Amino acid sequence: MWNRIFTLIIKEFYSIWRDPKSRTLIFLPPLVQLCIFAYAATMEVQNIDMVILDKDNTVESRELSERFIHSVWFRKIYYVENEKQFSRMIESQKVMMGMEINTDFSKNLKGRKEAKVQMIFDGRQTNVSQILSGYTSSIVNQYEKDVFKSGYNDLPRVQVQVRHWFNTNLTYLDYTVVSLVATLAMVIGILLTSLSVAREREIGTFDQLIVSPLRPFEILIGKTFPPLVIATIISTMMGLFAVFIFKIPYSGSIWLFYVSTIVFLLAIVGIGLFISSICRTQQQAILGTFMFQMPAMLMSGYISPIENMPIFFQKLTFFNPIRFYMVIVKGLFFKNMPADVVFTNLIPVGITAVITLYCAYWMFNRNLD
Amino acid sequence: MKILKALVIKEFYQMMRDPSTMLIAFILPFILLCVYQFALNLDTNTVSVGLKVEDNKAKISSLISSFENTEYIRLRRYDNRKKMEKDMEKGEIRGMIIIPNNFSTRIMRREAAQIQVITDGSETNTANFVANYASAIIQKWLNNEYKYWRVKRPTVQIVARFWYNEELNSHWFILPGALSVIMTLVGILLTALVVSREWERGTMEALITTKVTKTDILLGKYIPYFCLGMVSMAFGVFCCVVLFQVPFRGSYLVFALVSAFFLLTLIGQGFLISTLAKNQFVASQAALIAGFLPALMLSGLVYPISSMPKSVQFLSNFISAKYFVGCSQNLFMAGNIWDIFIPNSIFMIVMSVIFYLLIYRFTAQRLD
Repeated sequence: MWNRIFTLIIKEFYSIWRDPKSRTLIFLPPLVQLCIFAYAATMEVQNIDMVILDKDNTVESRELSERFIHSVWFRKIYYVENEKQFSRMIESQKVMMGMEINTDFSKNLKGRKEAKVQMIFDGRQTNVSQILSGYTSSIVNQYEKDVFKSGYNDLPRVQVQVRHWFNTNLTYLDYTVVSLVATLAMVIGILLTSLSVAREREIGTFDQLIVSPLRPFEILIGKTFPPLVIATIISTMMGLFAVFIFKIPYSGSIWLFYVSTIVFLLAIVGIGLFISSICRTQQQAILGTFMFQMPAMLMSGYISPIENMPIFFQKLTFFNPIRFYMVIVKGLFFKNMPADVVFTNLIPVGITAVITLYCAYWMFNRNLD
Repeated sequence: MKILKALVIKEFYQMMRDPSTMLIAFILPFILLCVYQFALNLDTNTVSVGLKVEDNKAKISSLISSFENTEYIRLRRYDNRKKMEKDMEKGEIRGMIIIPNNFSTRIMRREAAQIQVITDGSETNTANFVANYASAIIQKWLNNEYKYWRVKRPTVQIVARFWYNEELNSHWFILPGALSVIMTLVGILLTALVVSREWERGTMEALITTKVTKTDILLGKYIPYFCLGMVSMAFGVFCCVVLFQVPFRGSYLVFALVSAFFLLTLIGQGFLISTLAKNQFVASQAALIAGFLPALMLSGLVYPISSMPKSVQFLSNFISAKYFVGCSQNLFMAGNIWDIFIPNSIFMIVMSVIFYLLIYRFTAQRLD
């Protein structure tokens, strides 16, 4: 029996390896994507261009503008003469925000009244605007404090000491790289399995496999093992990239990483095989895996936190292995996550693996009669 | 012309026969839009935060209740610091706020009182929110509590306006962009699969040996999938506008034009991939790598392009989704802004022409 399985495994490896195009497609893209997307997928806002309409044009108003120019977040500041130019700059997305200082700005300041500045943000970029309005308030608050030092000393003060654990400088890149390691592991796992059965069925070799002495269980092992090994190797490579190229300290246990990666990939391979086994053509198999993969990526907690989703969707993520694997990988990289927490997160993944692999097995079995 | 018509009709039949076509053109877009609408939430971020109060003076009960009564924070009270740290390690809370025992005394003495805010940096985005929310709540509490202490002093008041999307509803921004990702499915993936299947099965070779010209073969694929894509796009817009109530402020005609250009680049890309790959496995993966993932990551759909490093920004210029996302978000939220539509359309037209020429060049008329 082991001999038969071994032969099948060799054959599966060979069919992945044979075509130079697919060989390149399996190993190169995950690493290239890791490097490109790590820099692309950032919620940090930088290089901000801004337009200023300074109707006041006094020492005070220029001082306020200076604050923006000297801030690290801003790149280009345009000055305009009138409102028409001002709104055109924003409308055509030349700038992301605008500041309008009214003629009575310095007068109000000197008169100890409320001096208003108008800030316009581009609501088309919702996220960016939200972050920008945060930057703006902190710049303006600082300006206020510096200009009126005297008014503040006799007020009660609270110092908020902020510490960020596990990623002390809140380096966004570290966060994206680690999340991408998890996401790309899924992409590659699905890629390797989705076609294996459907392609054989389309060509007709799956029938030959069924009439051979191989039992359904043996076919299942033969189809599961090679993608599992290749995906584990690629995960390892991505992990090494994260540690040695992106210099992200890995704080957890290596063994826990492998145990959870293998369980996770089993679940992914299970899903891929199951979808592949119920499809008649390759086209259906590919589209079927997309049907799983895209919502899974969106609901992994990477783009938006799971806790903020409606309850129904939160419940749905129980069947999304990537959601739990993401927690584990981040935990192992940043937090030195202890084994008990890793295993609690691994249980739902394990359940998905068992169910989907069993379903795939059942599909193979059904084909026999 | 007759040949072309026959080819187009054949393609339509094939499309109708396979249920997966309908799946990709209508059901998958619908599911994805639902996920974007309901499961992605970038604006109201409610975070679980632990609070440990070491100061038991009555004075600060109002501070505690202001932490309790904010919609941004789901508060959990702890007495044991170790337990709180353990929960943060598990990810059950995303931050800890610790009020030390000398807090109210120091406030009364007008010394700087301290509050510790510790966040879970492994969730970088959320960590930022925790820190900002906590500071804002404390500041607000301080201003309320000690109003009578405030001396009259000038303030700089920020009047913030968010144009085009006053309430900063992030779905207005995400859904129009998401249409681009959905279109890559019909445009690139389906086209790539269909063409490479013909190569794989040998029907393409059979076709080449007949009198049919290359232009006929190309158009015979372009026309049906272009039609399917446009219908699918119309369905997507319908979902956004009618079901999810995203405002549409531009002109539908302009939208149709921009979508047409975008779709042509996608079909071109898909066709080119499969012409080069001639194998469904390779073609589908290349479509995923060159079409879907860049449309998700590099198009400005979620992540702002201007914040990316120069090299990645340069790369994004070659992603047609970037030009479409720019147009789509504007048409939905702002209206007809020609300063953006015209250059973006030109880019897309040039791209689709280049793709067409490349396909023409690589579709071999003879067999090797």
